[in-house]
Formats: sequence, C-alpha cells, structure tokens
Amino acid sequence: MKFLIGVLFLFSLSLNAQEKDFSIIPNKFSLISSFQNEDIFISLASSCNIKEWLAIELRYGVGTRRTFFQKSLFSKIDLVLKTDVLKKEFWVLGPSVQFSIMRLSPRLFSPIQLYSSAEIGYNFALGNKLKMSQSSYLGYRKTRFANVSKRYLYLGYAIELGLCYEL
Amino acid sequence: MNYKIILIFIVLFFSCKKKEQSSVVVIGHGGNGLEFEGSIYHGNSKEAMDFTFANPNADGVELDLRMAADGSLWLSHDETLETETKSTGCVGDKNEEELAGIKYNSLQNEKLAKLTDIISFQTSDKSIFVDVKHANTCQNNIQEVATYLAVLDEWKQTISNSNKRIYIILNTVDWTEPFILAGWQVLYSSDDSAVRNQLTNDYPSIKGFVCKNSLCSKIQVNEIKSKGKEIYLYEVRSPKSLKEVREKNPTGVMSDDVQGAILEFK
Repeated sequence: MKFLIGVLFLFSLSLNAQEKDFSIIPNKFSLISSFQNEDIFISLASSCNIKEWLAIELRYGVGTRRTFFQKSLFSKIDLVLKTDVLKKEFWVLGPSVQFSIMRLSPRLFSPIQLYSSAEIGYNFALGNKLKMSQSSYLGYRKTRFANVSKRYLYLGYAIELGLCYEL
Repeated sequence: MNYKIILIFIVLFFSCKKKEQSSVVVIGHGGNGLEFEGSIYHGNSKEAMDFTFANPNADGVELDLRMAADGSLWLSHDETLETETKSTGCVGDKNEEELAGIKYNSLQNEKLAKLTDIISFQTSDKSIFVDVKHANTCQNNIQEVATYLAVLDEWKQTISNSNKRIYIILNTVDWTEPFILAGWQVLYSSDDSAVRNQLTNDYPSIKGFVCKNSLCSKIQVNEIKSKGKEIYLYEVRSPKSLKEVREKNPTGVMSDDVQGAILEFK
C-alpha cells in the first residue's frame, strides 16, 4: 500500500502542479514502450523543464509479459534526466540518464523480485507538438529476491520508442 | 480523480483469487534459461546456476555437462565453442588451462564454468539435473563411460544429500545400465513413447524421462506417471507453453523462463 501511495503522490505532484505552489509545471506527456532484459514495459510519463536546458521526466509503467499474460504486476518507476545537445526545427538529440526501480508481484502487495538501475543513454525526438521519440540506455541493474539479502549486479539495456505530446 | 479509478481497477484486477498452486517442480533450464531473451545470465554459466539456486521459489537447475580432454567436467550446451563463446574448437579437445579463460559472447561476459567450481551446489537443498553429453562430435567418438562415472562420483562426494538431489539425464541407451548400477537417479531423454516404454521394461529402476513439451502430450505424461516414473518437460519459454505444461501436470518443468514458471506453478 505504501508503495502505491508513494507512486500516486509523485504523480499528483507533477499532474496537479498548476494548482499548488510548485515551480515545476509539466509540459509534456508521453506513452513509451521499453524493450529490456526483463520484459517489455509500457509506461506513461510526464515531464517538465526544471531548467531551460534540463528536463526531468517521471514515468510509471508495467511489464506486459508478466502483468497481462501472467497476471503478476511487474511495475516500474523511472526518473529520467534529459538535455538537448542538438536542437533543430523538427528534431532534438541529447544525452539522458535514467534511474529505475522495478517490482515483480504475483500478488499485488507481495513482491518476489526487486530491481533498481542506473543507466545512461541518448534521446532522439522527431516532431513538433506531437513527437516520436527513440531512446537507448545501457547501465547497471541490481536485483534481489524478496527476503533474500544477496544482490546481483548485471548489465542491463533498454531500447525505447515513444509518443510525446508537448503542451 | 482519474488516478483513483485506475488504482481501484489495478487493485481489483490483481486481488482476484489466484489459481491454485501446482505440484509441478520448477527447474531452471541451463541455470536461468537457454536462448531466452529474458535471462540475465548466459545458460550454463556459474552465474546462472548461482542465481537460480538463490531464488527461494526455484526447485533446482539443469545443466549440460561435457568432458574435456584431461577428464575435467565443464558446463556447455554446444560441443563447438565458436557458437556461443569467443573461442574456437571443441570442449572435448581442450584441457582445463585452455578452457578456464574462455568467455561467452554475452552482455555479462561470463566465463565457461567448470562443474567443481559451482560451490552453491554443495550445501543447498535444491536439485541438480545433469544432462550428460556423451559424444565428442569433433573427434567423432564417444566418451568412456567408466571415466565419466569415476569423475562424476568424485564430484558427488562434495554434494550434500547427493543421492536424492542429483539426477542424471542420458540420451544413449548404452549408458543407462552403468549409471543405474552405479546408484545414480537416471532420467532418459526421449520424445518417443515406444523408446520410453522399452526402457521402462528393460530398466525398472529408471527414475523417469525428459521430453520436449511440444512432443509430449497430456496422455503420454499421464501414462508415464501411471507407471510410477517421473516426467520433466523442457523447451518451455512462453506464457502459453507454461499454461500447456500446467494442463499436462508433469513432475516438473525445465523452463527457460524460470521466473515465469514460478509465477505459473508456485
């Protein structure tokens, strides 16, 4: 329960920022599919520019294989930092850093495997208000089984395709 | 408000009564999966074995065993090294020094694993299924069964409760009797029911069989079990094939998607 409340709290910060006294105003919403070692994730994201040159994106997604075909919630929360190094009229390209936590739970509040990761990559976006994006990441992931202290470090990748709407 | 509706939906969807637990035993094929994109580690690597052994919900691992030129035992599915590693040649033609440094062509860059280096096998309570590869295809000859038995016996002494935990998988009839007489729990790998029936008659103390999921029907699984034999299905990767295995209800599944099998059967 605490996990979900935390997720919703983070989302409400970004989605309702206009109504509260925050300086963060989301200006982009995205739907992203991410092909990675563990599963194919579908995520919803909202992002905003905390500086003119730096965007922060918060995503919530689920692993499709586990969640929909095996009815076990495989959820993921990502925090992505992006900057546009090359900026043209219809496309942008720049480096990106992604931090994630993932949780596989056959019963909603009983995880059996936990992951965390830190990855570096790039983000390419094409379009105007409606953009198509492609990102790739490579980095380290840590995983452990619930109730087992030993952690396993391994190289992980993510190849992403997304659709983004800019306000 | 919308997110509250989404939350209620998620809670209802995942709070529904789960399917009943199954008695099917979950074995990691090649450790944590062979040729499966969701596997973190390369099949038959030490890391794959350790990883599945650490999974509290997995029941054991299956590994492919080959004998090197000097009699040491190595985990490798393929006889030729160039298919999966940065090296060339055959496992059976090389000695320990040559094999020790070989790495897989994989993201994690794992090394080729020697059987005796997998310490996690020694004191666990999980099962180990050893698929004994008897042929040296590069030399076009068969290994000596007596040599194999001697080396395996030496390794067995390091494994706790080995008589119950270790299964030998064979696919040559000639080796069945020597292994059974030496006290091993023997499973024979065959997709042919006629072969299985013959072996059951010829070797009553054979433990059971291993069969490809796509080639072994529910009727055949029930037939094997009715004779008091164990049956393990392999080549299981997708959620659909896991559901098929559940329907067939074998003794166990050697799954390439280990976590998927755990979700299905545990």
